[in-house]
Amino acid sequence: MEPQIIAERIKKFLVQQFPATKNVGNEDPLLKNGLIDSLGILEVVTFLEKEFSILVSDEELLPENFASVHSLSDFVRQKTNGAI
Amino acid sequence: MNFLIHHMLRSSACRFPDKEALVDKDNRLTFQTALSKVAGLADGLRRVGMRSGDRIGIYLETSAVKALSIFGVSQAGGVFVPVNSLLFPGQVAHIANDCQMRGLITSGEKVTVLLPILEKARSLEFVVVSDEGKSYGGRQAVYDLAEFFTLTARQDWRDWGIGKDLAAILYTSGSTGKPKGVMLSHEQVMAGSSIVSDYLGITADDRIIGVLPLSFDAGLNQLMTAVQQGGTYVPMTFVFAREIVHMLLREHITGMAGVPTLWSLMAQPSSTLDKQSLPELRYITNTGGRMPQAVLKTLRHALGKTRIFLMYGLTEAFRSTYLPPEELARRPDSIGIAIPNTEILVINEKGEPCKPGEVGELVHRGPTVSMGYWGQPELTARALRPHPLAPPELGDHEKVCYSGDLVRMDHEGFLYFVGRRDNMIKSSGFRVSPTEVEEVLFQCGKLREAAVIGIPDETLGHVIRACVVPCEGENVSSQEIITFCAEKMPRYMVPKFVDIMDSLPKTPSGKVDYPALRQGFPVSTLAS
Repeated sequence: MEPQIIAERIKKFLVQQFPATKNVGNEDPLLKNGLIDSLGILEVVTFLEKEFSILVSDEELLPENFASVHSLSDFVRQKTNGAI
Repeated sequence: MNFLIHHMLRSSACRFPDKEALVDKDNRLTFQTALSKVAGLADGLRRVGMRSGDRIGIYLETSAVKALSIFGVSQAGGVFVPVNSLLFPGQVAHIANDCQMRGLITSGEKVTVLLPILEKARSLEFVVVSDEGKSYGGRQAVYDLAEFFTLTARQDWRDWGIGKDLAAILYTSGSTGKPKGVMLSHEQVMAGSSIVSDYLGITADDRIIGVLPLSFDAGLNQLMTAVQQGGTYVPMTFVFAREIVHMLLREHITGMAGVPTLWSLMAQPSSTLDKQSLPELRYITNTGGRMPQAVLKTLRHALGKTRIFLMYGLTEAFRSTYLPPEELARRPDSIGIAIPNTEILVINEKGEPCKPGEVGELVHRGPTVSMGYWGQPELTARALRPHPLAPPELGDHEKVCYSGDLVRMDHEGFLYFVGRRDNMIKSSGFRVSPTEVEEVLFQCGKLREAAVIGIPDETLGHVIRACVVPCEGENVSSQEIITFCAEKMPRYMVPKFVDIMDSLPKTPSGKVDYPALRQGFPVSTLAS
């Protein structure tokens, strides 16, 4: 799957669940200023696992993997090794 | 003699000059260094014209810099107003205007976000910025916090004020209106730290992790107890509960305070709490709502020997009750007994003490009862009243705090939380007033009526639900309203559900009938 499409699917979910991310660019921070809080991040993990059929391990729960739409889509791409 | 908040830091620096006072990521400050930075900041604030009693806002994340700023403002004779870093500019503007804030300590990044409101904050004369990003072109003078920290205090420095003076204003919501500023004097804050240190057994050996905001009484109390006892305060922000577990290990943390939502996160397998051995974690505490029983069970299992204290407190009286850990197995749903040097009364509608088992209002008596609400004498008079059971000969010199919380006491004197007298909502440990959210809802300009209620929820305390009636001819969707709110308020205040209705139930006097609305949604539907 094209990185751009992964990013679009992530962005669509974020805007629906976290409306305050509406005007956030792909490189902008998601974890600052309370856009996505610690409860919300668990919803993001569940979404990624279902949407892209991946398993996020405890070790991968790192702020750098979730920092922006870009880092989320990079993370998904690495996990799937281009399989989707 | 220690009678002002910063005296605690001075005294600990005398006893333990080279001991770690604050640890923030890789930044480790000894008491001596912390004292020197605080003295520099106090001097800097005075040099730029700060006067005794000036309110100085501190809008930063929980950090060593925020902790130093609190002590610096105290030393300069000012009143510190810690502002939760999650708040949006609209809410910060309310606080700045309400307390007529004269100075603000914040970060370069936050200054940029605040720019539109800084223009309108009339009382605000200067801003002190903690990092780069001083390209601020606003009305106020801007100073560099790092520079203040390096100043050397004058040799003839003399403190201002006495223990009864106002030291801090903590903003919190009630059942109506916008957040109110609870005023705390130096001696009230210090009494709070002595009392909590006593029953938690805090000593200089303790290393306390600070994940709660310093704008929250329990969070502030953690900092104060650590500094007072010569322990170490380790502030941190987090996204994943796993980061907290890492910090507990890395910094050999001995004490941690949390709210139910935080403990629910810590109890999730992904936090890895149950995979780690934490023999140094001496105690944990819960406040800000009832800990879900399933979470408590998980924590007890995972933490083995760590002592678990369930506590209850309200900002207006700082801290009120705790359940001794040895009682936890027998009465896991109790909020415990009065904290030391404090009396908790349960008073019925007639103003008489309740019998065991009878539900009444929790009334707090002791040295941590606050000075009331800033600029709100009527509301203060409602919350702080004369002791109802004192002999008339004593007069009414002593004020006790009416909490608005309904409780009952068992035969052995243990208290149990029953509910609220009013419509106040608790979301993720934060107090939210329905009107605060309703005002934002109305700002969308498409609603004729709006009422906000809290639906009980195990993890969040309450889930916020908005019931709205659109103006005639307006076609609005729930999602559109949620999106509108999410751009104006922090996430814990944004309604999770919006019900579009034809009309709202009313009382005979024509007001919204909140109990009737709540009856329509008896439990949280989050799980479904």
